[in-house]
Amino acid sequence: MSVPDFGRFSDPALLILASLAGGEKHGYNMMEDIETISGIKLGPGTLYGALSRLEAHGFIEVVQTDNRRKPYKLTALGLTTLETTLSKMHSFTQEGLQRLGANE
Amino acid sequence: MSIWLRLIVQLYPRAWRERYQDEFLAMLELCEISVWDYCDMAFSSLETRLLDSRGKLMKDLLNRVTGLVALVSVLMLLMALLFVSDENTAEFLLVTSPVLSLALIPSLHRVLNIHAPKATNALKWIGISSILVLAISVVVNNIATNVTLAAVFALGFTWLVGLWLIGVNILGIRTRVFTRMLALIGIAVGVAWMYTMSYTIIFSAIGTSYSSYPQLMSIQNISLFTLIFGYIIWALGLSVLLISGTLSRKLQLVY
Repeated sequence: MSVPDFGRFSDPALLILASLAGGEKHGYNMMEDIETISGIKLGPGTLYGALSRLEAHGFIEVVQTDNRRKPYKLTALGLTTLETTLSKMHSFTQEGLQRLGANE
Repeated sequence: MSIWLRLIVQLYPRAWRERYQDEFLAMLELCEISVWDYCDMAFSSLETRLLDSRGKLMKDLLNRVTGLVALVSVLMLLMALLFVSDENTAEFLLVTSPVLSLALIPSLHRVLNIHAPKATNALKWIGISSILVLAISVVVNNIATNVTLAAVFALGFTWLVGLWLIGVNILGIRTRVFTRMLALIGIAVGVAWMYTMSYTIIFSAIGTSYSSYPQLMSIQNISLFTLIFGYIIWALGLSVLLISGTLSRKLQLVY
């Protein structure tokens, strides 16, 4: 399958998908988790902007709860998309590192 | 919750707030909000508004273009019936007109889907089934050359299209998407289509001419008249509604 182009929203979207790969989380937990795994602190506006777009495209879905803080989880589409995107990034990183090693 | 946070959330589009405001505010209660976070939210709200309005503009434009295509199809049909004397040109216009009017279907389904998703979905499957049955009828007629079986499938196609047309208009009345008069004309067109086409297919299959049944001729003529001129009024009305934006505005209600 082709990897969807998130355009200039790709970083927050990918960070959210990666965070949710570790299990369902609500907004604040996602912000903290993303900061832990990537060192990037997403602003609340950026986070919810990306969340709403990911939900609209069917990559994530809300977990029904009575709590005001709604947890989100990956859909099957979101999981496949994340796997494909990360695999491509992994190949690219490996190739780049090999080239750097060859130049040293 | 500070008044500034409540104010900044108001910058988001209404539909976005209806869906996310409560959980967004619940998350903000746990955050230490910096000046940069306020800037981030202000920027994000503008971005959401921009993307939202761009989507609406595209939908609006699509519906208006559909309306224009339907209008062209009606004008072609009128030209073929009233003004064109050359047989080949008239035939071309008569064949092209209904093909162009197919453009109405996605727009109608998009508008009705907002108000009655389940019923619209059922209608969509009736429409898809009709195309499949038509394809089978063409195959049976041309490859298997079984005229009787082809006629049965052609009847199936006719009834499915008729059901679709009647269903769309009943849904149009129930959801108040169409005006009542326009929908009633649409239902009459559906009934006339089913009668005229069934009559034609059955008579053609059994190899009999209409003239053998003079008592049915007047009913057939009324049905044909209702079908052609009813369709012209119905498609004309829908295209005007779409071009003027009356139907398109109904789409603006959804995010």
